[in-house]
Amino acid sequence: MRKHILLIEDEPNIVEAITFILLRDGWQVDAHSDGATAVSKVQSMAPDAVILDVMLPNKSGFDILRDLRAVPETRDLPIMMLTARGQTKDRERAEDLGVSAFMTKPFSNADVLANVRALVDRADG
Amino acid sequence: MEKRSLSGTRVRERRMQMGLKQAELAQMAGISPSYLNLIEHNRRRIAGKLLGALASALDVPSEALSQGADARLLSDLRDAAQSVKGATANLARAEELAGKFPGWASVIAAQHRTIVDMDQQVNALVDRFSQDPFLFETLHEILTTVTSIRSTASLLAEPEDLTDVWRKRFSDNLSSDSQRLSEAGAALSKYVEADLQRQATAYTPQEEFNQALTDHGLRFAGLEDGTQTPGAAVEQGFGRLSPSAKIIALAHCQRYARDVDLMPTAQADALLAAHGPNPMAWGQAAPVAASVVLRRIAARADAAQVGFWSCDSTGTALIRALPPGFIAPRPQSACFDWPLFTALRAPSQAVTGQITLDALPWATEVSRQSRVFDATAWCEPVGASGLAGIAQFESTMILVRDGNA
Repeated sequence: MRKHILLIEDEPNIVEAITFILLRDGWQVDAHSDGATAVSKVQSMAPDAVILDVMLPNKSGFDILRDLRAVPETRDLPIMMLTARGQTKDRERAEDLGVSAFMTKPFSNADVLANVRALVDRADG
Repeated sequence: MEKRSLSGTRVRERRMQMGLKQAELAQMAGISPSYLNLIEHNRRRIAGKLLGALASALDVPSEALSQGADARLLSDLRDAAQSVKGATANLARAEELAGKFPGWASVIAAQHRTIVDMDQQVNALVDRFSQDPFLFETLHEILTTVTSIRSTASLLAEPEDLTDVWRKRFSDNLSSDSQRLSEAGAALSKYVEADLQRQATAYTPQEEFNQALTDHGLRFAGLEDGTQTPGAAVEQGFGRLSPSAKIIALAHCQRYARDVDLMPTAQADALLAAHGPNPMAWGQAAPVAASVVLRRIAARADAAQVGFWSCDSTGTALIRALPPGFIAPRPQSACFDWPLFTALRAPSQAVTGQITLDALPWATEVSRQSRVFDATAWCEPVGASGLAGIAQFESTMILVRDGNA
């Protein structure tokens, strides 16, 4: 059974590229672009891993991460954050909130793929 | 010691400029050529009558030989030495350097000031990059678009075959992202260029005058000794300014002349000698308005130790002649609780306080300590008031480098 990735990102062209890469690699991919409903989307879809952008409309990726870590069902869910802000404080903030992996834009397709594989492999133990 | 060493060099420079021989100048000043030689080589102090005689013979005001930019120059040289990590410059020999090689010393000082100015601009730009919403949004847009372009271009460049449908979609995405990137880049370039122009240009006549006054210095020798009218002082010091800025310059010089009438040079210098740049002590000793005291201290005190800052009711700077080491965070920014601004809320009351500025990035222990300033401010109504119109207020602050910090 294919592993399921939920991509929460509001830039359609980035969504299209990442989705294509993951689909081609054998993953099942869904995309979501609204920050306000992202938490409920994660809870309803129960993906194997989440790729989460920081700058989203209506609710930031940091707030979404905090809410997901606050409930038992998603406390250990593999979550990789994407940000155009690579400052140390952003990375530290994400780590404090319990992020599993962190990538700074711009990134290569190969890095995205490698990080997603490592993330899910680690979760599978 | 500082003034003595530099005064000799200045005497020598002026004499040679006038084409006088040592013997000729010595005779005019009523001293021996050998004694003049010692003076010119900074081995004898000149003051009092001798200073006056030499100044008269050289056709310059006494101040031109004994005071002026010396202290500022030495302060800049010391700051320059301290700003270079690991430098082995002997601070105690700054006076000797300025005395023996005044031209080179001025170049070092000017370059140091340029570096400090550039440092300020870099800090301002860092502020902008982290706080300016337009820059933040634009940089985010650029990074996002570049990310998309990189991913999409990689897919198109891969040897694996793409279906025509996907190839068409990615080509279209690449095209639209390239357009977005181009627009964001152009907007950023335009914004930065406009910002640099804003920083380099004086928007208003007041700013134009303020910049010229900073270059000129706060002291007007011709107004101090009564040899110049305010109009002549403006033509000499501010002849190139716009007509509007000249009007402001004239008002400034007229007020300066009135201040001199209220507190003549000799009285001000006596107070300075007795009390230093201490406004409270001056105020107790001299029955003049507090604002006059502050302006006279600024005019007569050592420019390396004392700065002057005045603003109108909105906090907009009228005159900003900051002492060395006092680097405001941004050209138009300051802290609201500095005495200058606190005084606006408490007119006709002396407001005092101490301002400690953050250490410069390259600060040594010495220069860090020197960035503490005692501030005294006074605010009073100026111009029309009462039924004749709405009162305008002007706040005035002097900054005295805290030598004991």
